[in-house]
Amino acid sequence: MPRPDGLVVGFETSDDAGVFRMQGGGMLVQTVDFITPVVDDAHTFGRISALNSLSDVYAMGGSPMTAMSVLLYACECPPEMIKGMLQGAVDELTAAGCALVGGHTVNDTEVKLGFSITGTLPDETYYRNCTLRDGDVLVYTQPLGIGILTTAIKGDMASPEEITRVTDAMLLSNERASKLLRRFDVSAVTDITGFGLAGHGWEMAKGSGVSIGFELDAIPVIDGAAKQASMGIVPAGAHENRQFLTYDTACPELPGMKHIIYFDPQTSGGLLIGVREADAAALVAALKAEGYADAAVIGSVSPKTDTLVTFK
Amino acid sequence: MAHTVDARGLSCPTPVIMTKKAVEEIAGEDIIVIVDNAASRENVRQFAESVGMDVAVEENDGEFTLRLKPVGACDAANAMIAEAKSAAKPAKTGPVVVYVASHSIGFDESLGGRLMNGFITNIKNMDDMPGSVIFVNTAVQMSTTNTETVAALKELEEKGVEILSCGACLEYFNLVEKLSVGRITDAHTVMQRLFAAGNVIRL
Repeated sequence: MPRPDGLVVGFETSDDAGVFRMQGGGMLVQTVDFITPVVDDAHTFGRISALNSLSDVYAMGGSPMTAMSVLLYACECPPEMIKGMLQGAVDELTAAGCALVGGHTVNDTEVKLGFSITGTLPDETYYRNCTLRDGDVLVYTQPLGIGILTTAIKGDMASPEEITRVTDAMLLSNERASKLLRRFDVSAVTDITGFGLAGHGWEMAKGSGVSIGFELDAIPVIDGAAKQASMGIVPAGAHENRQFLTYDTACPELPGMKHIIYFDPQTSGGLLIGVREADAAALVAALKAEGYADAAVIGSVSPKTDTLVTFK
Repeated sequence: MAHTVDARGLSCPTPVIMTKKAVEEIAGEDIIVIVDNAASRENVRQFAESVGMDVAVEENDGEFTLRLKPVGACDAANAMIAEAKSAAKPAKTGPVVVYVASHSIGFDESLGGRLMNGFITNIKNMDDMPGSVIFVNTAVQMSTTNTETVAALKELEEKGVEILSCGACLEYFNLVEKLSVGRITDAHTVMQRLFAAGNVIRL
């Protein structure tokens, strides 16, 4: 396929969203994502689904403008459930200044909801996932363990406190974190979703031609996730991520399968930000002030070796 | 004889939830779990180890059979049965005890029921008679509603074999009135028989 003149970021480096320069100026940021239910409450699920879709635009440094819904559900579903989901989604889209302009619905046995989001860039600055620099440090805005705890919810194994903690994590929008990026010397950004911290870190390292080291002790984990993992309450995706990354990722086997947390797929996860070391403390402080209580420096970037991602 | 959890075709976390339920319901017994994906294999293995069970995994044609053995401090019953077995082995002088904890033998329940009938009815053909045959959990069908095994057990009883059925189990399945051979027993007596046994044969 010939590369169109306006295509700035395509699918070649598995980035969070495409970036397209329009004739006459202006840059579009475009993405689509849809998910199966992660919580029991329809309205909350709608909110999480919208935030999860918006996140890809935020990870590029963009501002969401319009949304198209992608909805799959069985006709037997109670109408109030569908209404609750869409109301939750519209609440978050509205808060983000993003207009729902349409969508498409398909009959399916399992509910799936998501959005194709179109955003714009306020200037020429956008954040790719493949532009890390040797010497950068990596800041993450969220605790890990979302996939494990939503799996526990599916299995009726999660305590009310665990449900609250994981729901709060998924409802934390990446909007304010994204708006902070321009104030710091940031090189690359991605949001952590289905491939987990290890997988999205791997994509960043591979695309950037560098290696990444994560500090196990520095990575925040939601309370309860390690305990659930130790009882085998782990989504299949986490094992698949680990399997896929066998050869160029190094992660020690930890007691109680705790290492699987670093491969855990995140729904509506946080932003992983590559930033000049000198700016890292100020970025973390700014993130904490904006409500990202678990924001922390969790790793660093070094020249490329055979092992793209190392947990130590 | 081990209880079997068939979790083929099911995705995480369902195989773990099913295994957890089985472990809780039949504490102290071996459990066989069959799954058909590596993620479930890892999760079930992790769960079993977290509750102090030994796990052996066999792979066959994309399916994984996990044999879970209670060895740790999973619960009091596990510990007691494990202790009974280890205490019984070195002695080798007491009577043989046949300990039956299910109505079925092996993976397939329908075939397993027929196998169980065959095994029970063949005890009488052995050279040496066991001291006791003990039925717990769903195995209490053997001494109540299963006419084929009831007849075989009556023959054993006439030869002096003690036939014991777990009282709590009979009550649980509402079979107390249906007891057709032997007598009702309790946990204390079961443990006494297992501790004193020269050899425990588990079906």
